[in-house]
Amino acid sequence: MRLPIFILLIIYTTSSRFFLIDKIPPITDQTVISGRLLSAAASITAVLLIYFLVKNYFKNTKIALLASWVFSVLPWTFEQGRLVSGPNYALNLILIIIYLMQKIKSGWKYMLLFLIPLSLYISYPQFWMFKATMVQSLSALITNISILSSFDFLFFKNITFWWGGVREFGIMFLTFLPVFLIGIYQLVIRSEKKLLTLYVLAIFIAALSPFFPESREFYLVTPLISLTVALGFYQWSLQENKIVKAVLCCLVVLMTYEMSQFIHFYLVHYPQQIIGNLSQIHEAF
Amino acid sequence: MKLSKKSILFLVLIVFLAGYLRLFRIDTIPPALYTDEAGQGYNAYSIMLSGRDEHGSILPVSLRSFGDWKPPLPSYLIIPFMYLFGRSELSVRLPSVLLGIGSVIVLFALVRIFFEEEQFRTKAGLLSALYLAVSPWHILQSRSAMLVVVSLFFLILGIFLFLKSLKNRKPLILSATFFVLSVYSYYGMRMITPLFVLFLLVRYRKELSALIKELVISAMLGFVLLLPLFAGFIRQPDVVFGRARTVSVFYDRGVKLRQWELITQDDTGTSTIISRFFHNNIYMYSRSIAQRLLSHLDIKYLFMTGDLSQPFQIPNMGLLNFADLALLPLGFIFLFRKNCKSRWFLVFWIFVSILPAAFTFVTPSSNRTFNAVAVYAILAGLGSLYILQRTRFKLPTALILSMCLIWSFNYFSRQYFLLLPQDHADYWNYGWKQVVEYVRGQQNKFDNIIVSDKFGMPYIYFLFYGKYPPDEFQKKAVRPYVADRFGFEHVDGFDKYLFPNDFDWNITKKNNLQKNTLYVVPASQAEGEADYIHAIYYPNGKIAFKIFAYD
Repeated sequence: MRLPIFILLIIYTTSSRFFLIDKIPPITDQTVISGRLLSAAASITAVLLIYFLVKNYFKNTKIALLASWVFSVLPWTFEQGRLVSGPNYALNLILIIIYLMQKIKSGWKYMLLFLIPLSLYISYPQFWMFKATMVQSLSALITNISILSSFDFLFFKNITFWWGGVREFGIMFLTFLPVFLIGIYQLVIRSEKKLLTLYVLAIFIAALSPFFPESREFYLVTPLISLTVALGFYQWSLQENKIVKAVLCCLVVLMTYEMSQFIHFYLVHYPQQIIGNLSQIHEAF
Repeated sequence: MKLSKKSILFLVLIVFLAGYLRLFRIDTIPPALYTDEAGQGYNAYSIMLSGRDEHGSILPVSLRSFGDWKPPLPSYLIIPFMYLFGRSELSVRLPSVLLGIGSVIVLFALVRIFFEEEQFRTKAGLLSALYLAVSPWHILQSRSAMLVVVSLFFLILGIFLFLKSLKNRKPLILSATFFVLSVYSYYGMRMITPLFVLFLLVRYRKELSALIKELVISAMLGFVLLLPLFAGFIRQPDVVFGRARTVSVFYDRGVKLRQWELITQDDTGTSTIISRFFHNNIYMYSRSIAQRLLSHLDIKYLFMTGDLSQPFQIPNMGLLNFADLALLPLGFIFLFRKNCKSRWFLVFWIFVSILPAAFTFVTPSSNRTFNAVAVYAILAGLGSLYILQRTRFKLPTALILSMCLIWSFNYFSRQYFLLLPQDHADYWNYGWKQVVEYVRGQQNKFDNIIVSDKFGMPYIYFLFYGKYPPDEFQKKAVRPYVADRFGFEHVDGFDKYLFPNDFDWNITKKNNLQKNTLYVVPASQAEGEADYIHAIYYPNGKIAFKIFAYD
């Protein structure tokens, strides 16, 4: 039963990434179609890698499926998977490295960690650490952290790519909020120190960017967000109480509606929203 | 269980600290009576002398005031203090101060009941009381007559007595009384208090099944106490919904405009059904309400910027002490790890506290979500307890926690007690008292006194500080009873005072100057003009008002 679901997921991801990719987002002088295609392919690979990584980590196929599904439908991954996106390429390479680290049993696997900066340098040269000549002040750092952890940023308004991004939606769908909170709670009570540390680290790296909020380092945390939401989903689905299960069903219906909202917005309103801003985009798009 | 002498001593010290922080220079910090405070003060004075409010309503169950239909209890509570101390900042603010201090004590008792089966109940109670005593948000509200401290006190007391009554039947009737008093104290409580009562009834239904008689009597008493409000509502629906109507998110045009824009952007071939499916009221308002709800939980709002609307702003800081940032999540973890019975009650408390504000269009709002301050204090207390329980080095840890608290509180003290009155007196409409004092000395020389009502409702300051007889004002006030875009109703004038709505000094000066008239104009409207006869200054030396005379 799980294989067909997985295949459906891959079909959905493939079609959602490639559908009208040469038209939406609108074409500019900076548009590199091959770059977009590569990004879409990277996005599909990421869905696959997340499945295997989570499956290996939790030894649970359901959580793995849920995590890769969440990653596939997140508004931010949807948006970045359809344009030339350094963070999207970088995420893919990092996921491959982590996957290899899971597979290699000897202590040599930690040597692979050194490949992460290299892969970042190759795939995401705009990463602030390679470009910036200054460091954030403490007050700016705290402000940035507060923005990155705000509900507004997570669920309502993604401001990391002002001229070319989908600003009207956050990183996640609003209907993910309850399961996201349950997922965070699960991470805390399970003492998932590694994952929590990665979260904190990613927030700090993104917040340290002198170009914030016009920087997308936080994108690297999307697999973790997917995993958190998946954990929340899984935990909720384990509840025996029929009312609780019914509420979950209602939530799934609402999620479907919100996803259709996003897709409608992306296909109809997003191109109209950014068409006037294209001259402001000075990078491959 | 009785308290140990050490606990009593700590509690007394905390209450003493709370009292000191709330009473210290209460007449001058905040630096002036805000419009709402002056409104409450004058209505209390009016009821004391004439039995009627400024609009002439006899013993009102809702004060129409500026068209915002204030719940009346805080004004009634001012009356005894006004009788004792006269019309002053002190008598207007004293009820809030005293009930603010009272909240600290009641919270201690409530936390002890919340965790009555736990060893740490007294420590948790003391720490919660301490964090409430030094909470910038609670201090800010306790030191001003802004309704919400009064309502919070009655709400906590109502909950405390309700929980107490589960073991000792008698307090249930008192609990009902205090719940009703909270409804008479603040608008939002008309939604919050019933939700709390409902939650308590469902949550403790088993225990309450043994208290049917007391429950029925309490319900009847509550109903009787609410009758005046119901009667007022039947006569005039605005008594209950007047304020809600004008601050409601549905009153704001933003969502409607965005909906129209999106429908317009849809392809011309798109059917109406599809367009409505995606751009309907339910989705758009739900999203807006959820966004407003969650904005109250943002770190930036709670710890860095706070409420940006005056006068609830503490310069360059949030609503809570910065040290609480780590303690709040730890408090949550502690609650859930220990499986404390009250954990869902506290989650519910936060949710219900911010729920009404989510339905208003000026968000985030610290005033409308003030009830959450008690839970934040409890969580901060539990967070510190959690740290202390988990460490082997208790004394150094306690010292570090204290240092963090002192450091945060020191910053707040500087911002609030020093910087606010000196550099941000305008937040509190500073200057009207001085204007009234000056104008009263000059008024016999002029036929008219025209006062710009660009900021606040100046008429209320002329009534409050001018010692204007209430019965005379009720006869002479010229009120069009037309609400502006924020729902406020202006007073056009009384006696020789005129308060033209949207007064523009630059236009008046060119075209419409009246003879033998004194003009009171905010300095921002008359920049660069030097022909004024008198100026009122802010404490930092900048001009607040310019007064012009034309013969």
